[in-house]
Amino acid sequence: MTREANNFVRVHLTINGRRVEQEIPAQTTLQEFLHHHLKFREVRYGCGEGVCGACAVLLDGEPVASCLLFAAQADGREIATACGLDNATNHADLLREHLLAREAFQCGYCACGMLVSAAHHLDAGSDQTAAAIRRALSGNLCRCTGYEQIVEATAATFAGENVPPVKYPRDDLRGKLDGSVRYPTDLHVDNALVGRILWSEWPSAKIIDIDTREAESIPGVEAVLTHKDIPGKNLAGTNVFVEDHPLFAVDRVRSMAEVIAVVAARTEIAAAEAIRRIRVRYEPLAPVTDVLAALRPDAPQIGAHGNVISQFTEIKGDVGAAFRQADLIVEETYRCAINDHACMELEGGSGWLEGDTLVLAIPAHSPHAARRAVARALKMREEKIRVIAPRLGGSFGKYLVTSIEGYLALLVRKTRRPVRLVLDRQEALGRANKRHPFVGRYRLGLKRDGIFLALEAEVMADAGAYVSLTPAVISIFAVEAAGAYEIPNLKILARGVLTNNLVTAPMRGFGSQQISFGIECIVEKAARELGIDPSVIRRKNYLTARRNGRGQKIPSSKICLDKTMEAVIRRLGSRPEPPPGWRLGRGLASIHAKYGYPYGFVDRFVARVAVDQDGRFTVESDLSDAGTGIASGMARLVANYFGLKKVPAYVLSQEAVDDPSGFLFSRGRRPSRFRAGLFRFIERRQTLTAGRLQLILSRQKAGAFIKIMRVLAPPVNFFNKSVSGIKTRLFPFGVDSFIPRISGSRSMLMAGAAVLHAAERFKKAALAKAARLLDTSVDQLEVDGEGIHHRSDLTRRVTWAELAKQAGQVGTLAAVGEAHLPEGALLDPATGNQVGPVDHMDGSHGCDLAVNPETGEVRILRYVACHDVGRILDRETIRGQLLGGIVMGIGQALFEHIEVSGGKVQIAGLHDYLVPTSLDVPSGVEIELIESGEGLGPDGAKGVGEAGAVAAPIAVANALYDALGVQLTRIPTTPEDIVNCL
Amino acid sequence: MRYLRPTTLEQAIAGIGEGGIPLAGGTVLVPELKHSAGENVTVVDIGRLAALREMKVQHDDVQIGAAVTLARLSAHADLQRYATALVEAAETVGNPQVRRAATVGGNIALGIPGADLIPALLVLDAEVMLFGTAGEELLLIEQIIKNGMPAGRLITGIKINFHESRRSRFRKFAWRLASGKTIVNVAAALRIENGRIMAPKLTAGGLSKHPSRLPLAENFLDGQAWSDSLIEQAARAAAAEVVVDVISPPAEKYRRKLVAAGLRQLLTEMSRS
Repeated sequence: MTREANNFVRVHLTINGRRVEQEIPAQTTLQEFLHHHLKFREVRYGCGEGVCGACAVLLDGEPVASCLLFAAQADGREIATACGLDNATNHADLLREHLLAREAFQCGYCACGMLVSAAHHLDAGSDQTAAAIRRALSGNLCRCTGYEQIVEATAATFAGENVPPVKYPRDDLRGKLDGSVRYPTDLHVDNALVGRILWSEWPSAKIIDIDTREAESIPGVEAVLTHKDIPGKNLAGTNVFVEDHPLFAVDRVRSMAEVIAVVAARTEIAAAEAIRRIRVRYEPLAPVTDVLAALRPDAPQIGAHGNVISQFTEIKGDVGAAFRQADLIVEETYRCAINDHACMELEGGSGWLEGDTLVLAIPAHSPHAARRAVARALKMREEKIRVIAPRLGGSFGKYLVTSIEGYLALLVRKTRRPVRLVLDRQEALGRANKRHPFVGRYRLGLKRDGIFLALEAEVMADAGAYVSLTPAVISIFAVEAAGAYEIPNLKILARGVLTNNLVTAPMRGFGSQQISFGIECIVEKAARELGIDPSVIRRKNYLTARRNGRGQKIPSSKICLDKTMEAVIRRLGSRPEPPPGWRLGRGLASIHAKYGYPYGFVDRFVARVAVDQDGRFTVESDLSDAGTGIASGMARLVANYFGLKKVPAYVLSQEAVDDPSGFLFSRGRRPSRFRAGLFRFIERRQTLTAGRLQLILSRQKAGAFIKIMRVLAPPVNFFNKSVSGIKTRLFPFGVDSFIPRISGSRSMLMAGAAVLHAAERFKKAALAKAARLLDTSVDQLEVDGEGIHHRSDLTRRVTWAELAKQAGQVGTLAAVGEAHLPEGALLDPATGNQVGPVDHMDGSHGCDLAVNPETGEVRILRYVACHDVGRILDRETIRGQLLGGIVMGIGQALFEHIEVSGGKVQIAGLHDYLVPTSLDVPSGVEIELIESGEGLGPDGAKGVGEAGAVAAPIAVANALYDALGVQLTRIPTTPEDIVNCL
Repeated sequence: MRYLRPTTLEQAIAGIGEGGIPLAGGTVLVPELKHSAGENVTVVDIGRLAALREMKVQHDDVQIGAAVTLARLSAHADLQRYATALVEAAETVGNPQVRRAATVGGNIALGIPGADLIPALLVLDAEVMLFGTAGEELLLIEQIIKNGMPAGRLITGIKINFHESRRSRFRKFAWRLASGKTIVNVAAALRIENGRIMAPKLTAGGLSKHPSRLPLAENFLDGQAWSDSLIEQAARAAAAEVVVDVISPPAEKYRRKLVAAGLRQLLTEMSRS
């Protein structure tokens, strides 16, 4: 019998062949022991409930969830982690190569756990069909990929297939598969204090009093901080356009997402106890939890500027007259529920001091923005804060606005000790940022032959308690309200409304997804009421031309949309037979959705191309890897540009991240502090002015609003253009500050342009140098994969390595490139409408599904998608992005829903928030790509990150409509909704 | 938290007698205890007691140790044949990783509405083997459900009699096909003699604190020959008689529909095999 004193136990384990013996608190889970104590960081954590599988290890040869075991339970047993699979299993090596060749992972957070399950199944599974593989992997959630490529790779490994040749292998993924990369929550510092947050108890209340004395007296508690402990400004990281969201609540809470206090303690238990002992007296107020309720004149005003905090219109023609000519008018209200990003890595990170520098390892798209927010709250100089954010375990837009870094920084500053603060899944679901829920009232007028005459719509987003990035979402609502269709008369009113729900953040397809759902639903309803085939009514009304952000008309939209719909119909083929007793439904969707930003805001993407004395190329930037493939995408562009044999390594330049002036990636001289500060000031004024204008104009009625916009258009365009010009010309440095960067499917467009610019400048410099070395003129020289040679004499050559050696003292030849958003107008002076996003992507989806009318169960039988991606730069990356988006969209159509009652989230974990498993999503999703070459990205490529997620919910919803004969007007559609509608 | 790992059943019972919480797979207890159990909480790890990890097949019954995992249980060929409902129930719990840890005894001891093994054990007339200071005991699963676990006892296993001609099936409804939280589950067992249904047993779970038998529906089937209308009658009777008192969504009306649909499906399949 084992019995130890002080509630400690001695545990002996063999891990990956290594014997380990340690005395640990009895409560330590196996995952905590492996990951935190023994530093097997590949044993990750995503839920603590045995749903996500990120913590899977082999225990005596069998995959188990290590978060569901106390380490003591595994005493004396043998463990293999993902890093020990080569000895513990027989096929791990080949499996890894197949996975890499298919780019089967994106953010990679789930990869190690997935690998454990897959490698075990290859050895032990009696059945190696795709269905059996899916079953074996059903305890491992992947949020990025949609599982298809993982299943394919596992099946190919079993079949002993050769690894398909890949021109430029994804070396950035290798580290995710062999367990060597680190995510923010892996950067676990020894003896770090445990940070915990006290959240608001009420969605709306006054705070009478906060008493932390009792909590502070608990042994092991090192700090209890509230709003009183903020040395600088009490502002969270969400305040991009409007500064309304406090880091800590002071005298009022407006949502359950409000933070009252944070604690740091020596143990989890002490931290939890301290949270329980903070006494907060509230005076609860009636919460407003619905957009329509918030719009009532007598509704409580949530913010200082009223409940409508953002408004845009899109007005064209004469809707009233057009409706009078219509043969049919269809009306309906559609809704999208609250969704969570459900990144597999939980939100959190660590902070510590290095000398007097505060180091923060956190998830962030824009490390600079996070640091700026911390500096503002802590009243510190930015140079004294270092943000490490090389990659994220999923984001999907979540980390465009951030907040935990502020709490972490305050705790580290106060305790002078390392602190680790990671939200648990219940907090992530119940308190952290959510997607904007949507309500849209639609009225569509048509002729008998199906030609659209007029669309009137009032579309609204629930912004939650603070403005956050809502204006960006609302702007998209207005511009994209008519979807992929030419509608001559439009009257669209788009509004962002405050409620006491959780704070919102953009999520994959932000704006585009909700608004595409709305228009596609009303179009479907019109088709069914007129008895016209849904594909025919779409084709009759497709946009004849699209307009990009420079205001240019691109005439081929109709051609593209037609082609994508044709492909979808062709691939769907004849209608399949549903199982006996089930009903079949076929649904279609066409989208014309943004990539890139709507505004003419100018921000700067930078990249650096370099070669060292060994002839090794690197591509550097300050962009973190959220799994979108941008890191390898940039490197591949360089490989292609120079015809290199090996793809350069992508390096996130920490020096560039550390330099708040952005000088390292600049072409000019080092800016003075004054000049850098001026740049910052101008940029801040630009965003805050936009936010302020939105707040003021949101109070106007639609008619007055559009008149004001018409009047404002020339000065706004002039102001924006001059600011852009000033920023580009006078400040050729400075990475972005408040505008999030990797977002809105624009990474390839922007980073691609920056890296190609760098490559061009690099080539120019290299040729000049080579011309001197070879004693000839530049026009006699040519670039090849290995260096530069003379056109007519191949023996006269200089290699990249030699060029680097000649390049001054550092021995590196390098060039910096940059890209800016196109300088376009924001508003059309003639109409007052917005000009819109820089560009759009066209695509169509089709879905055949079976519904059981008795139980409401849904099985997707076939799913096809066709997109114009502009140019295929990397087929597997594009396929992975689209597949992952489709599965996320299917999840949002059928499963995912944050259930809220009275402003309080009712679900607690991944048992309740239903991220689809490998068994819940269709297999064999077919994706066809079209290359119009018309994108704004490198070689005419378009952004694809969001498109799959935008279209998929529509195809599923329309297929359900077809099967049931009734249109369900809200997603997600649960089996219960289906049964009730019949 | 104190952690004990007894090496004998007697030591385990002593630990439990002192207020210790029995811990087997840990899939439910570990997340609950890891960051909240105070210094005075004791867990008694019974997961490695050899006596609880055995599966003994005799000629007309099987004894499954309480610490046998659901994965081991569902891989057992005799159980697949003679206790199909139990195997099908075990296969629907959680996901592969969870099933490799979760145990038979744990599922019974949980006492939650959605415990998937219970409906199957009910229709199979399973007996629960208990051990306490007074020695061994054998109780019908129904008694444990009705009266709760007798104090100071440990579940050591279950015993199921094999009937050559008995067939049993199980079906679970959840929003998701893996890691699905049970909304409704149903199980059925019966024998066919001379073309007649004998000793039909039906249960539905996920609807109230405990799964319950469905005597009215069973009455419809008892002694009858298969027909579509008979199945329909039984399914409807079951949906009407089952007690629903969980208040979380989905609504009662829908849950009753699932009971009918589930039993209709099970019985139809059983009538054809």
